[in-house]
Amino acid sequence: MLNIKNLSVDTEDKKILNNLNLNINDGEIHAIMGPNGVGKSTLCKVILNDKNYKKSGTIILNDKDITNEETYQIAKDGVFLLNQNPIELEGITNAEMLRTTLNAQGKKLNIFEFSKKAKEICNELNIPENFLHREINLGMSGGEKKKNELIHLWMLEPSFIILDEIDSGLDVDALKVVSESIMKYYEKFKPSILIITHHKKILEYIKPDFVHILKDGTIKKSGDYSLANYVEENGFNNI
Amino acid sequence: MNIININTNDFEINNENCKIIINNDEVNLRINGNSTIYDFNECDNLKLKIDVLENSSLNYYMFSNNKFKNKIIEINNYENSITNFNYSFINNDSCKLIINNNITKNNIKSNIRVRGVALENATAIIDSNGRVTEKTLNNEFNEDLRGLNLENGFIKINPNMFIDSNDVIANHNSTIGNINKDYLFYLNSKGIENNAAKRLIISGFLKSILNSDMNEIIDKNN
Repeated sequence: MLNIKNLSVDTEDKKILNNLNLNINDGEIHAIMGPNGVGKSTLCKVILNDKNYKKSGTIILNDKDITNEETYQIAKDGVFLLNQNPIELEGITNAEMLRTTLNAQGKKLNIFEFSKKAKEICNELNIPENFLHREINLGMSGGEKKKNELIHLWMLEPSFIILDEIDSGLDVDALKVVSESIMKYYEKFKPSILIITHHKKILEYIKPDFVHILKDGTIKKSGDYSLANYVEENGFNNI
Repeated sequence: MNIININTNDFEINNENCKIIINNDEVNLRINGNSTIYDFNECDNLKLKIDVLENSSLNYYMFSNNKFKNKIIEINNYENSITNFNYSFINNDSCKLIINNNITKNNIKSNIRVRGVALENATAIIDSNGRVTEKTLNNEFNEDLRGLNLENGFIKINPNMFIDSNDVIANHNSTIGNINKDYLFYLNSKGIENNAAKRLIISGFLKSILNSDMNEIIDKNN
């Protein structure tokens, strides 16, 4: 599914990632844990080729080199980023954006099919149907924004999901609802998932097959779920 | 929604939810009661005077995507009136918009919002002049002006407030910029290519101050 080889990322004055290697197979759930400022969110954006970062190394998605692929093409290839603080877009409704995206992906739904599917998703997520006609994430609470992004996830049906610290800004109940929805999606579509987090809590709901510790710009240690327990008890300093 | 053709210089609108078609270069509108007006005028040059009469309220939505040259809009707010004036435009030629908003009475709430997009080599100048005269009481005045430069387009905004009263809440902000790269990345990350993403951002920028009825008409016509 996703294979990252010798990935290094620099800004003008700092090396953020240094020869990072990571392999995620179809249907696997991986978690990357690490302290603040080690480049976890940078990694998410670099996978989607955010041009604000200079990078070297290669990123392969389903045998296709996407290292320098346009961001929209990487998304069309199935990568979906749900980040910690989804951006607010004035004047653009969820429905407008989703219809544009689905058309671009060649998944053309007529207005009735679109509306039916979107309403079913809203009901499933216990979100008012009028969310579809609200401006993207505008004036929404942290929990509402994450749920709003879940509408996008279910509508676009990606095969590789990146969850960038989505537990940040969520209370325990909201985290449970969001995580359960992601697990339902996982059960139905079996995507690969990359979870970025500081804390173990989200991993109790979305249980990873592998846990990696990111420090000094590279993966210092990998293991199974028990590694998350170790970090929770001992912190990152002892890794 | 009623459609009203305005062929005379002076026209009074009473409690209407209407689309107006302005056929003159110079128009004085008197607003009596509670009205919502949708205006898609295509005048090259327009001098529009709006009197919002006592105890009246006005929601005015103006949109233009053609080449206007000069627009001068004068708004006179009377006692106990509420005015929301919203104008979105996209221009690919040089233009000047002047809005003179006068608060000379009491208990008035007046909001001016403008979204302007300058395309190609256009230079768009927006002068917004709000005046609150002395000895007036309990007024509120907000000015929210934003410009978006595309290609070699250039917008200049002059937000002016002339406040001679101590009993007023007055806010103004103006921003000018290019397309936000974070917005573009967000839409790209949903699978929308650059040109379509830019179109969405521009359309969202223009539509953000208009209401859903107005936006529906714009979507149908563009």
